[in-house]
Amino acid sequence: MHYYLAKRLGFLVLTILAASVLAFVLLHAVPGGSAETIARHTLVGLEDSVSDEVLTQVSQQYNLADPLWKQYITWLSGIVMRGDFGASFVYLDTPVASLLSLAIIPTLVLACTSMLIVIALGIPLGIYSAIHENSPGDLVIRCATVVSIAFPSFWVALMLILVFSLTLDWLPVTGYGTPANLVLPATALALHPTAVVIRIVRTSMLDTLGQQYITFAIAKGLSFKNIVWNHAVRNALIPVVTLLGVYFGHLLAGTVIIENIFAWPGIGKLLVDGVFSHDIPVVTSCIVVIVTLFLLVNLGVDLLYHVIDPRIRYE
Amino acid sequence: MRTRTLSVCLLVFLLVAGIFIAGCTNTSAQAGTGVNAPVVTQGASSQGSAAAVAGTGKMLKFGELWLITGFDPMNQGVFITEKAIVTESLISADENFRLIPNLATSWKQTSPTTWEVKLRDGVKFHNGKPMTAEEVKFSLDRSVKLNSANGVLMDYKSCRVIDPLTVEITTNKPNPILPEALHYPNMAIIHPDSLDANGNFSKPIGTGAMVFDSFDAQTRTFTVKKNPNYWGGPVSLEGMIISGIPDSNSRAMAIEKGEVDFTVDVPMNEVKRIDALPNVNVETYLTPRVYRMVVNFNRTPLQDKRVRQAISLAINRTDIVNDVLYGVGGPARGIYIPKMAWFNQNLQQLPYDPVKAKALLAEAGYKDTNGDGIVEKDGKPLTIDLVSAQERPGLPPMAEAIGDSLRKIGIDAKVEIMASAASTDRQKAGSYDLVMSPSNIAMVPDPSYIMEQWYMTGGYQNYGKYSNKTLDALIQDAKETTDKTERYRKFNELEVYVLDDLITIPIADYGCTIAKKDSVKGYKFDPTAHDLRMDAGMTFTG
Repeated sequence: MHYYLAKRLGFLVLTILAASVLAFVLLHAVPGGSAETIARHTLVGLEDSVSDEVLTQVSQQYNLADPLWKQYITWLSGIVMRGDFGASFVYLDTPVASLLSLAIIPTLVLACTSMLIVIALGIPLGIYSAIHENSPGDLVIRCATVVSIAFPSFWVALMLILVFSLTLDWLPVTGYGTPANLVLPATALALHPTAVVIRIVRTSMLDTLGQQYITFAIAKGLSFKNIVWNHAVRNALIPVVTLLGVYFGHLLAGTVIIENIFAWPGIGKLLVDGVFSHDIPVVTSCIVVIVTLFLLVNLGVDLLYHVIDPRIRYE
Repeated sequence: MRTRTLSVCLLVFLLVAGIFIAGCTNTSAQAGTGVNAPVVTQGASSQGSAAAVAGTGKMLKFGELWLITGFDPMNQGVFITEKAIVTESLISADENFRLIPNLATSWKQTSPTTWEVKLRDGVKFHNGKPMTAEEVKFSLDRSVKLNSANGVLMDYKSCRVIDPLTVEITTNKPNPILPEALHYPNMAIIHPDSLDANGNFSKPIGTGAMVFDSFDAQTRTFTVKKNPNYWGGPVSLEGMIISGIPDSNSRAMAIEKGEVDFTVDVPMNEVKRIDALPNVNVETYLTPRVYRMVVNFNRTPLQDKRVRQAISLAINRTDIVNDVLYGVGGPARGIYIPKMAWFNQNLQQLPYDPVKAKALLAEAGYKDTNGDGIVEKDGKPLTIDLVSAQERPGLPPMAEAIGDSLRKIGIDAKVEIMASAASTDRQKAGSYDLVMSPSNIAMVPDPSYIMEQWYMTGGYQNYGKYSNKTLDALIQDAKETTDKTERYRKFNELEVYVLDDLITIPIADYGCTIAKKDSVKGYKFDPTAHDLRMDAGMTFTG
């Protein structure tokens, strides 16, 4: 168990490092000099030309003359030693760490809310669908899942805005801070994974219900309710937990699009704003944070198996 | 129930993971926040208070063009001085770009490198303390120390306090446009209490019509309230809640949905529709910015003036303004815009004459000898590489239209649209023939700024590497002329000179649209502002 954990954590750190190197190198390959970007955002106007004096000042201030590997090491050691993600190229007064800490809560709120929707709708509907196989209810649910899987989340988001904000005027288009602001983005984000979860739960339940021990339980004269809840569900949910873990990662990635459509002030919006304004420290830091979250959730899910099914052991 | 245990397990895991991660980053960042900590309010609380204030129906919700990335006047003057109107510059300008007193009442050049500036008596900062020469020196010294671009603009050496209402500013070299540079919003005057105990900027304490109220760092929303003791008299606007909406379609939707009461630059093709909405109107103004083409003088065909003339003659500027810009803007007459006091009023719109254009190409030796519709000289076809950035919405369609016009007179025009960082790189590398550029023409309200940067040998916006000793001398002479009438006359002649040689090819004047609710009344547009200036004299009744 300890060996397993150490191995997993080792890989986790290596993956994060690889992702950060890749992000750092790729972003520096994009056209447009860093010094010029900083100067335009923080010293002169956005589309104004930058004089050589100003470029020199900026280069010195941000150590841009250093070779790329040195800049990377400086940035990385800042994170490891002091939790300092460096200085943003755009926000002169706010360090990247503060930007991240302000943005991570909205992202987690959005992703967790979506996850709750996925669990609250996906599992019961999937079980219902399996128990009432081929009933009209099952057919409706199955059709709905196929349609939901086919629609990309950004399209769903735009349609939700069109219907619930612009036409019916029930909910605000953008904004943050009230539960009403959360409804549309969380729904748009949850729709696709909910549909997938319904289908997996249904398949898994049907599979479990066909097992011999279920037949035995029926033969023993247990009530159907008892069989479903005490024998089938628990076994059927093991693949679902894996899926939920993977989908929590997908939800985090999905927030990048959804947050930008709804102007939700999370990591995804920070990332895209950073990409547009060529804010390399912000973009690389956002990527590191998202990758870390994703990996931690996956690790957590793997460890959770043991809780659900004590037969699983880690070697 | 085992299922319940299971879902509880799952939920607890998710939430704990979430809170753990949020908690971690939060603590590590709190220490680093420093600068903004005292004034930043977070999330729901300030949203609530903003909503409560908005309920009175007088706070104006302003959808700004850019994200609010900071509000220190030394680098965010355009925001804090012109849009939030919390701070003010010493000198202001009228709608014809002529200087008028503001915090300074008069100024005069006492020697080639020194200026004496008299300050207005009775002006109070938002903290109740009077504005004196000490704070002016503090603000100017600070703005130059922290932002070398400000120092370059003023050619600033030092500032000396002569008496409580007089300062003397010294420049490195003689600078006849120091007063014009003092108009720039980054040179706004703040009280030293704007800094915290560590000397970091914490909140703007200025002299303007609006007082800083709060900044929500999470949604980047900035709130100001009216200054009851404004030196300029009673302020009619109650206050503003400002948030940055960088996407023009989102701004259009926000004004349509009533999420903002005032916004700027909605998509040009939407102007008519938004103007027709029941409670909204759209006004269009010219701003000191022009669409122009930069010419690469390292390319042999473009060194021939007749080729440059042919290119200019091939472009139908009226059609471009009407069809590409939907009427938001105006066809170019010169390198400046007509409202400017130094604009040469004798100039007419640049002509459109494709027949003459073809004749000029033929005269320069370019003829279509193989019948493919493209002109050649010495067996080589005339190819023009037209590069354009994609960020300003007018640019890509304008570049396409111009490329088409050039093909009609027999030039093989290749249009390349790319991100602005990439097009800047291309300009610097010199790998282009023509570049579309939406250039600011009045960082400071004076004609010398662009004349020097665009056309003098070595000017840092002279991307085309044009070099002409005669012109250099003329610009230098005009630049050093202090008498305003004489100065403007010299620049009038220079405007004709550079237009005649077509060193850069002007296309159109830049239009700015203001979309606002009908209940916003009495808004006065300031063309000297860098995007727009908010007007404390307007009223808003909700």
